[in-house]
Amino acid sequence: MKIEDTWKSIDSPLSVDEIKKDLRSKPQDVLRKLNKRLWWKIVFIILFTPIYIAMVFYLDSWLPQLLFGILALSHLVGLVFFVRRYRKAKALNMATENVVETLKAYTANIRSTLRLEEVTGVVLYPVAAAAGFFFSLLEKMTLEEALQQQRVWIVLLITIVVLTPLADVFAKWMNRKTFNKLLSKLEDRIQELEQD
Amino acid sequence: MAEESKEREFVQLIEEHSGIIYKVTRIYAANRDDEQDLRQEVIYQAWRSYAKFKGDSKFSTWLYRVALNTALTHQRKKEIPTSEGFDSDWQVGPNGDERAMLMRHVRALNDAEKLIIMLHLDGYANEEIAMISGLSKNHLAVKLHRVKEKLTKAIKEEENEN
Repeated sequence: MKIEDTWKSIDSPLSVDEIKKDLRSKPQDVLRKLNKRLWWKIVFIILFTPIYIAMVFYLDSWLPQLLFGILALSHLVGLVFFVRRYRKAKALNMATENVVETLKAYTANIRSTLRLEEVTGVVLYPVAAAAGFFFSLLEKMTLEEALQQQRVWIVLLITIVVLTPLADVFAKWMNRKTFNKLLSKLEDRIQELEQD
Repeated sequence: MAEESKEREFVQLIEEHSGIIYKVTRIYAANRDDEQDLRQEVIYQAWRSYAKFKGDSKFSTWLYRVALNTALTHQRKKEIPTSEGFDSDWQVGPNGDERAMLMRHVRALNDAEKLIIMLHLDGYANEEIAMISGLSKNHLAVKLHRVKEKLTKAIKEEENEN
């Protein structure tokens, strides 16, 4: 068999209708799924930030105002951060660049985004716990009264100590559930391609 | 309006070069369903990247690169064995058995070997294959030699058995 000639005789043209149909389809590949999940994080920040901002104006006590203000501000910073990371993820053009290098850059971008989110979370969960604590407490007493009671400080400390690791574990579990399987698939693919 | 004419131009170019998409998807897909998914992905990716195509290379070279890169990142549908007859579609017409045999042996190569041999068989120069595959020219020459030998040997063995 003459391999070159046989190879050149292989053909099966696509019709215009088939091409147009494929053009309208939105295939669900791993990268698009990951980008979508990153996009959902942005949506959640957009939904929650106005609530924190509203709380700053709704409350009339300086401490919960300060705590909700910190949360609102960090969410705004987080929004900018996630939008930038999302745009970076979308900008990596798998179709025309070196596949292995681009896949590596893509997975590194997503992994570092998740890691930074988790680290920032550990700092913000105590603030969120304290904000929620004072928000409900100040329905029953004034801030001055609350700050003078030792019992309030103890309950606040317990709330923070219990909720912070719980929120951290939950956030990590959520990220594992939504991102890890897909990221592992990409990392396996990188390994396969490097071995080839 | 400009978008419509751009799309018409793109569809026409794809139609002219659909053989590239056909070969890449047939070689890299695990079965018919997978082939259709991969074809959709290739066309979608090509359309997404078409705005950045400035004509620095031939359209066929650019499309080959898009198709191969998409095939390499594509997650194949696992657990479904290659469908019966997937390799025998070429058995129609003159030399059909030879086409089927060649496709079967190319499909048996690993992903990097498939990429190199496909481009080589379609007449691409080593410089272009090196550029598309990301390999150095020397490494590519060695690898191409090995793949050609491997493919020729496998085909000869099967021909002798028959």
